[in-house]
Amino acid sequence: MRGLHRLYLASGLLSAASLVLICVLILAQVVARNLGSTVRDAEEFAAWAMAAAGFFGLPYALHCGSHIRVSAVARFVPESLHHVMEVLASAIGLALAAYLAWYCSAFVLESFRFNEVSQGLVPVPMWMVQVPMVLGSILLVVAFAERLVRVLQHQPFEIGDGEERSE
Amino acid sequence: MDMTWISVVLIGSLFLLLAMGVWVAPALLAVGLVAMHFFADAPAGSILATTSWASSASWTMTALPLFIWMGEILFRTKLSDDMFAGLAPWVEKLPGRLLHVNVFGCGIFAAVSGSSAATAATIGRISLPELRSRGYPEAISIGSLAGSGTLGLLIPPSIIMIVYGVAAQVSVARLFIAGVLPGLLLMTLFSGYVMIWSLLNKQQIPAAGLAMRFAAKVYATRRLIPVVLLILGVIGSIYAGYATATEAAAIGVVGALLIAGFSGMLNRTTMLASLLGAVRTSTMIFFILLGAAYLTSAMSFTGLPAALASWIAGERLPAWALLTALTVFFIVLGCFLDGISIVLLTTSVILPAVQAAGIDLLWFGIYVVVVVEMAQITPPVGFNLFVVQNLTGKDIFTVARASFPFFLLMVVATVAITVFPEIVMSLPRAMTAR
Amino acid sequence: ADKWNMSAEQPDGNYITVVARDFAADVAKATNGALEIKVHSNSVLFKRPDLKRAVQTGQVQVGDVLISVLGNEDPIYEVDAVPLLARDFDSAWKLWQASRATMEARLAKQGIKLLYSVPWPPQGIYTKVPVKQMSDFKGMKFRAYNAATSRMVELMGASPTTVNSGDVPQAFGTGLIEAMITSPATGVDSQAWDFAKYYYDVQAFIPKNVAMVNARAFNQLPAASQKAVLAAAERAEKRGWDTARKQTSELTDKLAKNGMTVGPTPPAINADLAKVGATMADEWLKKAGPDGKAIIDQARR
Ligand code: NA
Ligand code: NA
Repeated sequence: MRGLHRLYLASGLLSAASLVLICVLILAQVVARNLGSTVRDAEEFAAWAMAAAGFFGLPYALHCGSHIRVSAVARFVPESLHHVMEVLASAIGLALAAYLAWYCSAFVLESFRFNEVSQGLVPVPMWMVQVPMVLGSILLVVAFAERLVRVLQHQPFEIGDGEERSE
Repeated sequence: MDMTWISVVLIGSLFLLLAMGVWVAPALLAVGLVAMHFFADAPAGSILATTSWASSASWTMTALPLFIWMGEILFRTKLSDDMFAGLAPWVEKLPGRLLHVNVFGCGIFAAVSGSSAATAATIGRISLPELRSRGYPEAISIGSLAGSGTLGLLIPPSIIMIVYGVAAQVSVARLFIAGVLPGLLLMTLFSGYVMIWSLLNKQQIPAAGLAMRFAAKVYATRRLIPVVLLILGVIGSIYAGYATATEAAAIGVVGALLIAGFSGMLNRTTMLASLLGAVRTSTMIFFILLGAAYLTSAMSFTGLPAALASWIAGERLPAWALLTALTVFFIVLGCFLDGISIVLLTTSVILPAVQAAGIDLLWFGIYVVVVVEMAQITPPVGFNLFVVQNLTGKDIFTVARASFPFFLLMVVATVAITVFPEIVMSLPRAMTAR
Repeated sequence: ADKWNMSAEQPDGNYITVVARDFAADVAKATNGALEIKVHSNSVLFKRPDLKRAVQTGQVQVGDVLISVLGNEDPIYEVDAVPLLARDFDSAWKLWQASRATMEARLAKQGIKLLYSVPWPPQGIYTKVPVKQMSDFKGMKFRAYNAATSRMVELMGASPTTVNSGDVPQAFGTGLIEAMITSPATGVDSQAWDFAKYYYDVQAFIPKNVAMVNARAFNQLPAASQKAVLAAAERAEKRGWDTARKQTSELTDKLAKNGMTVGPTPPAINADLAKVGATMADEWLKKAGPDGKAIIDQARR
């Protein structure tokens, strides 16, 4: 399981790197414009970095317990039912993540087969910038699968985010 | 297929999934899938992939994680402590004291951010820990944050106004100007409520600090200098024409890094911690936005919102009755869909009826924005609720209850701009006269 | 009965979407309801970059898109966006007739059937300050939105600036951009008089939206419905081009009525623009090869 956790963190770091890339691209664009020049397709590249940041962040955020869910109901049900709910929620999460990953992979494969190129100044093969979508969603499947296993073993999955809460 | 039946199935499955503890984003995806599979004749899976890509590779969205990152950096500096310490001496006499920081902080931040979630997340990251450590009561702290965060939509710039402007072919420049006075009205209402609440609950507000002489107050104010410089820098970059509203977020990050650098708090650890913090929060919002985009697409394929809207539009109601009906309709829709989806799914059907009733489309745009602001804090799907849950760990229904008074104040504002349309129309009219 | 969805790019007030709705109504009438097309406007279903592929893979049966955005895939698609090549509706129509067959063949290879085209009004230049000669553009921050307009702006001596379409009004207001090139339709839709003062009816080029249908979905229709769709498409094209001609002067008048100074291209600029146009056409021909040359030769005949 250690290996998996490193994988989620690595994915989170890739997401962080994409965030930095967005910031750098936008700043470069602002500076260039005010010097009377432009950075080619900075907007498009920033948008792709946004997609990368989002998808790479998915498994890491799940592992940190950052994705939002309603916890009010769980407080009013007995322990045994709560466990069943946790199993079901994890299983549904896993199924949906798998569905998403499957169709995202098919989508990117199609981009490759159709030779899709971007519409900006520089024609970039779309599959290249869409790879993070595939990797992120597949890692999300892995994370949900691990969560399901953990819950079945009555073990915690989320490691928390290490931040204080006001509760 | 009967529209009532479809609504019942979809709303029922959303509630069931959420109650079971399924995460919000997968729950929205699941409802979208149900709608696509059973009530629309369209390939659900490949549309999911297309929508996922289209909604995530978005230039407009880049401002959100950057502003959140900015908040994460500032949270790790002494800026928030400085800001509260600098303000405290001046608000001792004001009922509610530092509680007003949420209202005014969000109001000012709304002038650079076009989104309600980014506003609530950035200001809340700084204000909530400070309010808590100073002993301010929790419910009103989080309620005023969730409520005031919605100002991001009404005070220009505003993403939702751009969306409405395009759909209704109304000038975005005018919408921006028209939002200013209603935005100030809402801030007044929010601050007024905080004052009245504080007068009624005096024992819950922490005791005042030592009375300071004026000179001492001014001296304490020096601690506000970094905040003021940051705000001026970011707002200035937009209004002096150096950057667009979307780009201003990157300027904000640079400003925050400078502040952190000068206060000696910028090192590898804080840099990485701030980035990963930004990743967690923005990914959470990103995933829900993805789910919402898919649900929007599914809704458009089923034609459900359009059918409901055209039913209301077809009743040929007089203006006041139409607006009342639409308000109820938007509030209900706002419980389940996000603001941009509501505008995208309903405007094309509603606008002809609105025009026929003699309602000005510019005014209607501001009305829609205020109603969409309400949607940000109504459960189960309300983005500011998610942001505050993320900040505090409180359940969304708890946050929603704390935000409810601010929801009512927005209803009051809706009535006010309906009775006195000048609140909306006077500034854009002055602009035309120029 | 068959039920189709159509993804329309523009909002309902735009005549291109009006034509799409008329097309759908026309089909329903001609087939006696055997084929129903539900039109979803304002890119709610699919945005510009995704539309062609959504039609190609059958996610939606019909859709329309600004065809020149596909130019990176094949330069043939952007022939109508080569600035200063076809500057009035007659030449634009000739260019469309000359390019249609090639375009149809390219799309057919991808399982797409071309239905009809609707032109935008000719593209004009919006500025904050008046211009009299080409040198007035020197260093001006001029919004460009694709490779071709970028190049044109560069050749005009201005500095091409990219600003997302949603940010345009505010960017004009704050001085981040000082000029842009777009149609009077977009100018009216975004109420350009709120931020720009001058409109020059340069008629730089006439871009088109092209409606397309998934070939498999089309082939599965009964023969009578197929015929009805093609007939309706032909009528839609005629209606689209007629409306565009009629609307162009109305829209330009609207700009004037709202206080903009509307005028033709200043004569000094026109001569220089011709040079820019020649350069751009040469550059496009280099990309498009013999197919492109054949199209331009035929259009010029
Ligand atoms: Na704002
Ligand atoms: Na809501």
